[in-house]
Amino acid sequence: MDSSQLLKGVLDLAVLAVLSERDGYGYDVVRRLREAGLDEVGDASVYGTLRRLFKAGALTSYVVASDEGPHRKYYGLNEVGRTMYASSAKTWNSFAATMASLLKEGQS
Amino acid sequence: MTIDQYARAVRAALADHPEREELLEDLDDHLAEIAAESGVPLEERLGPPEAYAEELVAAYGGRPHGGVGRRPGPRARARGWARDAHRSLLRHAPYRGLVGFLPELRPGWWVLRGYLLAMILVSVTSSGRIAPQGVVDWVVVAAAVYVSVWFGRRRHRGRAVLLAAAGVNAVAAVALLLGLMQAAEWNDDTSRYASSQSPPDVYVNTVSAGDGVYNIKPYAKDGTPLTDVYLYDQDGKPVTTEPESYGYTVDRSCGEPILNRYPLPLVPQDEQDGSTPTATPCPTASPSQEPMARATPEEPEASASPSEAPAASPSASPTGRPRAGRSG
Repeated sequence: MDSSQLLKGVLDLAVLAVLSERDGYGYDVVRRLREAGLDEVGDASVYGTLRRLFKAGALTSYVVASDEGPHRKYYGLNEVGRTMYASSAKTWNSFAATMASLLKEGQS
Repeated sequence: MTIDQYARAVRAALADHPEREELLEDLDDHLAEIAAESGVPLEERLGPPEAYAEELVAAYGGRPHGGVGRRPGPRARARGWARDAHRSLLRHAPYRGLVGFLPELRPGWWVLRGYLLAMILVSVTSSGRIAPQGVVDWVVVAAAVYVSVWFGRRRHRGRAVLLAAAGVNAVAAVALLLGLMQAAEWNDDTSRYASSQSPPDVYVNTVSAGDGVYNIKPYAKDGTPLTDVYLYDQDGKPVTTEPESYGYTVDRSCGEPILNRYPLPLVPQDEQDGSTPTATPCPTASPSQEPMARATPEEPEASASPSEAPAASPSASPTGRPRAGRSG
């Protein structure tokens, strides 16, 4: 099964999870997702997801001026985002548990 | 491609997106961040700008589908046409059968691809060829076919691998084309060589009496040998033979002979310049070489005309009773 297909469905949740840890700018989020093991995550997908979540009102953003590099626009969860994260995580956990038990039955 | 150029190309690709500015607000800073991290060009890290834009929109959403005022690029339009054509053709059973059958050809292509790549390899390392020569070639072919099939059966693939596969397929296809052209050329050469081996026998076929015949001896109905018989083919061309090919030559002691008057006065070639045999008397008449309307001369020079010849001609019974044939 192509994991990039699976990732599409849960990228929102993954981005929310990364930002719930601490605020981050676009490329930082990409890097942290990859470090967490989602190697195949596309830069454009993460960027597009961040912009969509921001538009949906789940994220706050603020610009941090940088001396060496470009300005960085940091994103963080606001109240809406935290609620969204909690409910999405719940949905995922129950879904994952269902899948896990289903696979266990299939294997035995 | 610089950050600026890349960002501009992405913007151009999303020209029809209603929320383009919102979406791409901090694209430049984002790209700069990526570029700052390593020296690898953006295109190599992120793929072509069009693909990046595509992925961006897929994650962001909001691209209207078929909305008013939307003007798709030529590429998207071509893809749309292809999709529509495919859909309408799918209604026809033969096309459905073809589409269903094509995937079954893939393993065949994998094998062929391995073979072609192996032939490229051995042709590059030594002389060019389209078929394996020797054990080493066969080993290379077997290995290449194995790798090609293994690669074809693999599932999980990245973008780079797919691009590489497309390149390899293109190379194999070009090799196939070149190989076929080479084969056709060689085939042409051999057939030309083969035809140059056989002598031009056009002359023999059209005007000679055929293989193995160098003289003709006509006889009348009652067995009387005929002389001075002129033979022509259906087109009025004289029927001649080539006695020289059989060790004979036409006797020229009575002057230039007529070559379609049979039987030919032949003498063996080794006696040609010796004493002329007296067996053949010189013909007195010398009719023109044109074919005559009458098949037989009215006054045969050979006086041995059979006596019942007139009876055989239909003119013998001009007022013949029509029933005579049936009652007999």
